[in-house]
Amino acid sequence: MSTHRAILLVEDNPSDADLTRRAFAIGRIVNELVVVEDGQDAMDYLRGEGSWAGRNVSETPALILLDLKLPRVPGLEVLRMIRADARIRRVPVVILTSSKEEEDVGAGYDLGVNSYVRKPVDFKEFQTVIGNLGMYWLLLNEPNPPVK
Amino acid sequence: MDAQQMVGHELRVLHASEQVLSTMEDAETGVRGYLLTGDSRYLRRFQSALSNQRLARRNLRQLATGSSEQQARIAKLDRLLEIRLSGLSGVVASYKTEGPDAAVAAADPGEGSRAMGEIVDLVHDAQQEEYWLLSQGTRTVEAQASHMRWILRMGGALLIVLITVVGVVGERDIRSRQRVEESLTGSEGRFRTLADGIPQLCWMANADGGIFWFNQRWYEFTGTKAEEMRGWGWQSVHDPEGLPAVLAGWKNSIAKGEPWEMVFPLRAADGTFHPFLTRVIPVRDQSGKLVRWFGTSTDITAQRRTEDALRENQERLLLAEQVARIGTFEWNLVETAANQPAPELEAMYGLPPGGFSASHGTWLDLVSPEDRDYTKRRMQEAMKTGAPGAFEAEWRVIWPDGTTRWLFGRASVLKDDTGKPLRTIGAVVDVTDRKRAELEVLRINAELEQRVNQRTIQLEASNKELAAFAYSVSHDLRAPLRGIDGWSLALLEDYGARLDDRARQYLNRVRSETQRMGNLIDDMLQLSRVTRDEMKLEKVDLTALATGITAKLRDAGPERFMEFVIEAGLVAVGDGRLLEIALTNLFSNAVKFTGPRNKALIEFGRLEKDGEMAFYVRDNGVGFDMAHAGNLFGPFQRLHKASEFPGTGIGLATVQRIVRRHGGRVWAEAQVNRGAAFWFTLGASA
Repeated sequence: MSTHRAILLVEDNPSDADLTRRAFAIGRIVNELVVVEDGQDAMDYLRGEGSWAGRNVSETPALILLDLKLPRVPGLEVLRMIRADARIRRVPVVILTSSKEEEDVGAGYDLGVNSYVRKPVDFKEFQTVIGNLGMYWLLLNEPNPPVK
Repeated sequence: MDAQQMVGHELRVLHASEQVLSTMEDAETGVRGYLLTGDSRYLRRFQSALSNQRLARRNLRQLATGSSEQQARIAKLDRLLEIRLSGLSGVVASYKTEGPDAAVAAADPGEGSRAMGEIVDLVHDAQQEEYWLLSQGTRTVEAQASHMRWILRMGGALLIVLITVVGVVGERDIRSRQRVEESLTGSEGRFRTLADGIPQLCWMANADGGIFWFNQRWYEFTGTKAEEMRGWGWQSVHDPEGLPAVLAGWKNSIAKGEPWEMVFPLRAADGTFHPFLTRVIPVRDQSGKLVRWFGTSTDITAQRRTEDALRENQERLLLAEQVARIGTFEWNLVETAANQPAPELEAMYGLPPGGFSASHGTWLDLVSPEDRDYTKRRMQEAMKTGAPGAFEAEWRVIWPDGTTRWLFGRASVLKDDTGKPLRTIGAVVDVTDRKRAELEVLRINAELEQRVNQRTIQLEASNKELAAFAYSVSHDLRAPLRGIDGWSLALLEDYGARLDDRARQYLNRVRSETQRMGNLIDDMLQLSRVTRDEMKLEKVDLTALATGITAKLRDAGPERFMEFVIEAGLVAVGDGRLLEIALTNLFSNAVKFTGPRNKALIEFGRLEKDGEMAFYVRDNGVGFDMAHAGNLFGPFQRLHKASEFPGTGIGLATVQRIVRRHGGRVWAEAQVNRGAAFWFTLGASA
């Protein structure tokens, strides 16, 4: 396990962010969870710009959990920018959202998302989903080599 | 030989004589060519002319059985021809034996042309006689033909001819006065017998006008006796009012000795008056003295009736043309003479009565320039086909006052036997109003289409808004629910030990209500989606679809004992995704409401219902009271307590929307505790 690489959660709803954090904790996923509240912030983190200036951008997150409905830069645009940036384009991105609009799902896959997960209302189910996600992307999946 | 045969005979004689002459000329030409060129083709021509002439001469001899003069003429012609032909044969022979110079010497050109001249004169003389006979014969034939027609209509005229023949022609070859008398008597006897048999009324009067004989038909028609009629007694069958004019006309004719003709009524035996055409001609003897009058009266009731009917028809036609505003025309295509158009036609061209001076050649000038080529082309096509009503066109005319009118015309082209167009007969109507209405309809349609387009754009816009709203609902309403549920659970998990049972129960209530809310939102979204999503029609295997759905339902309720009976080969045209949603809802309902049964039996099939094929999903569940089924398909309508059968009440509304979008309908049949069946059709697409 690339133990100490962070998980980047892009989520503007603090309640959802906290619940996700709780779900990770219950699922015994110990990676640092970095929460950013909008798309711009997410890109700043990944590129070491803005409020994240000076961050070591070679430390790419192990996983990005991306909501679609975000202030400033929307989720799909964030995804497009990630896939267009040579330094970070290999980071697995999981769209974690309330929407199951077909359009969004299709667009997500078109832009190269790795998984598309709809957040269930039932927190128990949500917890299971988060647990499974962590298990898969952080343990089972062979991590990508960082871009040189 | 009757006149008609005679005409045929004369024509044959004339033809034979022409043949004699032309074969002779052929023979002459053949010999001449042979002498000049020595080419054997000319010789062959001479020889074939010889044999043809022999045939022609025999023909002529047999046919020409006319006067002795003519016989002599033909015999002489025969001799001359024989001499000339043997002369020519001699020339040919000397060419062969002694050479061209000797032959040319033997052929005396002066002799040749003299002989030929004589032959030609003789033939022409002979033809003259035949021509004369022909003209006589033709005249008789024509007369007979016209008499035949006359008999059909007014046979009396034939009798006039007959009596003329009897009285005048009969004298030609007979000298003795005595024999004239005898012949006349004999002829008259025959004539009276004939006259009694015809349908006309006939009579004869002395030179002074006293009638001494009526035919039998007169007595039959008038119902009178000979005694009453004698002399001037005939006046009793006349209409007293018209009688003076009749008498005046008749007396005038007697005084001048001239033929007379008049139409007046005569009373029939039954007392009714019939119109009669009466003709009277004087009969004169050899010296020209008027000896008697011969008269016929022909009942022209039928003719009058026909004439009246014809006139009535014409009037009716004229009236119809006026009422219907139809203008008729007739073009003479052979002569470009101006025709006599109906006044209605002139009015259509905005012209005063008599102002329409166009012929078929100049008519196009009246047509608006932009329609001229088209109209001309149509007319030319019609001339080619010549079928009835072959010409059909709409064209504009510009009236002298500048108004534009639309005319519609139809015409037939009449052709002669060789296919040459003779006349065009047609009718024209003014279709300006109809044309305007058509244009108006086109304009309104275009406007309507534009409005529909605008509406569609508006609808599409509001659909997009709706979609955005649905997205928002989906995302924004579910997020807080997840929070409520999540934090309730967190409370239970982290502080459960410090809460009493009731508090924990409350928190569980909060969570279950949250679930319900989440389901409601999901169902609402689905309902709105099935309404607005674009349909993709395809062939859908409903049997396979149902099998897949029921397999999932079985997996979801492994504790249940359920039997699904699905008819094989059910296929429909529709949107597969929507049909899957509809069937899922129906099967889920069936599964839900068969919950209390030990064994659930759920069937899916197809039957003909009221003339259309309907699909059904039937179960043996708890059913429901049809009295409450009215709102079954409205959203949020439920017939069961939520505690017994949970649900949002949106499933059947969704089914109904899907079915309606396919152009079909859905209905239910159920009884309390005896199961339910949901039927649906898929309209024309099924």
